Amino acid sequence: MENKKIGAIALLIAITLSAFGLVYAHWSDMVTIDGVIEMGSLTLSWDWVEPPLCYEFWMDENGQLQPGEFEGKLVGECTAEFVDEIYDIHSDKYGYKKLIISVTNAYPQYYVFTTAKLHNIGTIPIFVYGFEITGEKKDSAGNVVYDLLWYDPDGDWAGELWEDVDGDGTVDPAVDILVINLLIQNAQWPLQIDPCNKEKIEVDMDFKQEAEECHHYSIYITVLGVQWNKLDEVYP
Amino acid sequence: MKMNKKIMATFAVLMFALSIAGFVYAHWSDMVYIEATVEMGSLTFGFTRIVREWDWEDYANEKEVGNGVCTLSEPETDVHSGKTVYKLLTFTITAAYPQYWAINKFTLDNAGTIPVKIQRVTLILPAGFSAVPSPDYPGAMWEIYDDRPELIYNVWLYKEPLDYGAGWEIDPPWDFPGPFGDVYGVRALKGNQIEPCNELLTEICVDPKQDAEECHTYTFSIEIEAIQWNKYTP
Repeated sequence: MENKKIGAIALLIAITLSAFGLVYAHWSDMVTIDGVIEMGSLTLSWDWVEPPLCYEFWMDENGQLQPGEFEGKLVGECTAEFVDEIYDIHSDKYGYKKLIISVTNAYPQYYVFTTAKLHNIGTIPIFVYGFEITGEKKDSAGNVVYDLLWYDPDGDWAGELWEDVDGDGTVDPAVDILVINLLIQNAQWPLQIDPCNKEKIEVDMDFKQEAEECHHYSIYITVLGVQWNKLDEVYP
Repeated sequence: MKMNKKIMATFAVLMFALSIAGFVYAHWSDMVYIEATVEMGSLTFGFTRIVREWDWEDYANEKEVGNGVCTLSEPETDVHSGKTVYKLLTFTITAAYPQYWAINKFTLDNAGTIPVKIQRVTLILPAGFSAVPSPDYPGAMWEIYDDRPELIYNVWLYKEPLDYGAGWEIDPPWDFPGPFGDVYGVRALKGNQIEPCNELLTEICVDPKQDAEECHTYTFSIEIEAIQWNKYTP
């Protein structure tokens, strides 16, 4: 009985409203936009195909580098290898994350040059705009003696590694000790590498008179890359 | 029962008396008709044209890395006007990266016979994502966050700017002299009226942000509802 009353009231209201031109009815239509954003990938790696190569040189009396070691001896040894395989799921390409250069039984005036290829296995162009270079000097027991400091005042990646004797984090020629010359070179910096492209770089080292016997120098070089359109944010 | 008989008797006496006095319950009558024909109009709203596609790379450098493309699907023909519109526009961006943006210009068309007004623009995101409407460009821009929460990308949907072209004449490296929405003159779609057989030039822009993850695919949907113009609610 109550329901009938409510129904009658609703009907009455609807009739009244329609009499005054008010009807709850309208036409409408709808469209849809579907958005799909497939992100690319930015993956800088060492080349999966071509292994790195390490060369020895000695300097003759004319100041020219000659292959091998003085008098043809096999004293020092250098090897280079890529480790830590990586895979870019987007491009379906492989590469390596780390280049390890091992120099054993080194001595002053021993030159070690290493060449390796950088490969852009992502989908976004990359600018290689610099390197972070750090290192340590360790004694024969593996204890860290000094940190190594990178010194490259003109920023051309042709610089020096100094033992941070006073531990202040800055190179002070009066106190700190120059032990290694280090040069990283390519045709130009910053170095742009497009997707699927490769660029060869060279890391040259020679050991100075003050490099200490029976000690171990570990050098860590991080290659800094940035998507090519953001270079101005990181590179002067 | 007795009461009914009395009423009937009274009624008979009354009729008899009226007939004596010349009043007879009889008349001639005639009739006219109204034939009504209501030909209803139609309200059909959709996309018809992709006008232009461009992105950051067209202005900033010569490379072609990312790409933003629109496609139309789900055609629907208005039986009244005979015009065909598409109900779904798919905007696909590939190989996107931070600072990349892609804009597509397309038309929203009134293929029906009734003026329409855009009543509602609704952004729909998959689970785990949230949208923050821009206070500066209400109804025209949303910031999309993931569940970390980090800003992943912005979505812009707006009426073609009046000052189109003015902001695009800057030499590379391309840089807006101020906020994109201000310089470009972004205006929301809601409330725009489209007359029958007319179109509204519209643009969609997506710009991924720094925290968008590599090799991931992000999706969103936007529903645009148009209503007959006289029922629009501001």
